[in-house]
Amino acid sequence: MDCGQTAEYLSLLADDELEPEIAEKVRAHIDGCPRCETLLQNHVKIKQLLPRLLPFQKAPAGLRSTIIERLDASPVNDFMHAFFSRLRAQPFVASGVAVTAFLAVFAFALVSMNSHRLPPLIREVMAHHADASQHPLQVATGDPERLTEEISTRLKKEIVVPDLRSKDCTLMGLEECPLGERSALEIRYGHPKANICLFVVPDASENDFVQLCKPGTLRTKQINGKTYYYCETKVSRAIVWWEDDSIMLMTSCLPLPDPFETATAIREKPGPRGI
Amino acid sequence: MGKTKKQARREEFEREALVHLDLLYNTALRMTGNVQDAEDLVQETFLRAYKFFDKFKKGTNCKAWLFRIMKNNFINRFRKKSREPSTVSFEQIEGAQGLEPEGPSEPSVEFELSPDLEELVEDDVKYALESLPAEFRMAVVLSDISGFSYKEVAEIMGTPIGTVRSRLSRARGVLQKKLYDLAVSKGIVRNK
Ligand SMILES: [Zn+2]
Ligand SMILES: [Zn+2]
Repeated sequence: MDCGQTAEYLSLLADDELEPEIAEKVRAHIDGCPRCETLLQNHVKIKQLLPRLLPFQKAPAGLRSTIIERLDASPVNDFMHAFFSRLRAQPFVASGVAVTAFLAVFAFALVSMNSHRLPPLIREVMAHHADASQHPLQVATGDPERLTEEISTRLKKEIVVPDLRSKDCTLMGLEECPLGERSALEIRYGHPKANICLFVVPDASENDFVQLCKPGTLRTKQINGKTYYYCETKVSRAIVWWEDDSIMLMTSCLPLPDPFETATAIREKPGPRGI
Repeated sequence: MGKTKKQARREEFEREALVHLDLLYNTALRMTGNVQDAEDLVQETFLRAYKFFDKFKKGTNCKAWLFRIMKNNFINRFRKKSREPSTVSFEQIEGAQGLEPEGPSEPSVEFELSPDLEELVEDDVKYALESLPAEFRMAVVLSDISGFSYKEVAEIMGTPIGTVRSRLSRARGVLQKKLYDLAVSKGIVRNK
């Protein structure tokens, strides 16, 4: 074995990952070759240096509980978590929109959107709300677990209804409503200053999503590697994304200083980030 | 009232998966180079794992499975972000001869690492590590910092073991050179 061949094996030898017969041959060469001996020592030194200079760091306190908290949260809750915790520095709501006490009804808020430029599905939501001043709830409950079960039964898959109490949103209930040719489930929340709805359009392919939501026309936000599409006007915003073969569409009326400003759960989250 | 299915699933996940939190975090920290990205990466990894926990085959290696998820997340999210100027190019490491793992070896590094190298500090090593392309850094971190065997590293990274060998060997070569240069520039080691 020569120096060139030996070089191939030095790193393996340092890791004790060589077959015994080969290791023996390599050692035989190294014993008679100071240069290769040095090179081997270099590998060993690097290997030892790394853990010594980069000592083991345990996960920060609070990370475990944050993860556990998020485990059973729905994609929506998860989305909200990331979205609102990150956008705090750079608020979603345009600062130029001066608002005082504002008690818009949802229908009004949506009608004020510049409708013709919106994707079909969001237009459908608008129409739905403009038409029906009354939206009778089929299931009226404030219990997210119960509604989760109800929806899972109806859709034959689990859509976890987010508990947004920490964000000042009270769950009101569920309504099945037509959106164009499709039927959607509307999960409705009440908030002191706005209505917040989450629509689930089940059994939608990615192609349906493209057709109905025209993601190309919307603004995007990447959160944890997933793309969310949104649009906003002075008084409303809608966020859509595609998740587990459903289109998820979340709407809320603005202007709100930030309905999620009271997101105490997020805010009080311990951790070194200290926001 | 008994435990719901959801509770039971979560408890099992905590037992099987979340026990590896510290190891995942430390690895993520060394892979990303900073606390925020490491926390994000770890959270994302566990949330994904939880989502697919039912598909995970019980009795197989949960730790390796988690690391595989983390590796995918890492590659997707952070490869693009790696700092361009200080990054050693892939070609530089793989050598001009081509990418085949068992190909010709890199030119040997012709210097002796001085024992004084230990005067280098954490930041120096972090800097040197971060200059490696993601796949090479990951091989080093998984092997030398997180203590995985070549076989496990190959499993996590989804590459043949030969690729792990060559990546580790080459990555260490580059690290040696980087650290040696750093030590020289700091006056710890005199250039011969
Ligand atoms: Zn030799
Ligand atoms: Zn409705």
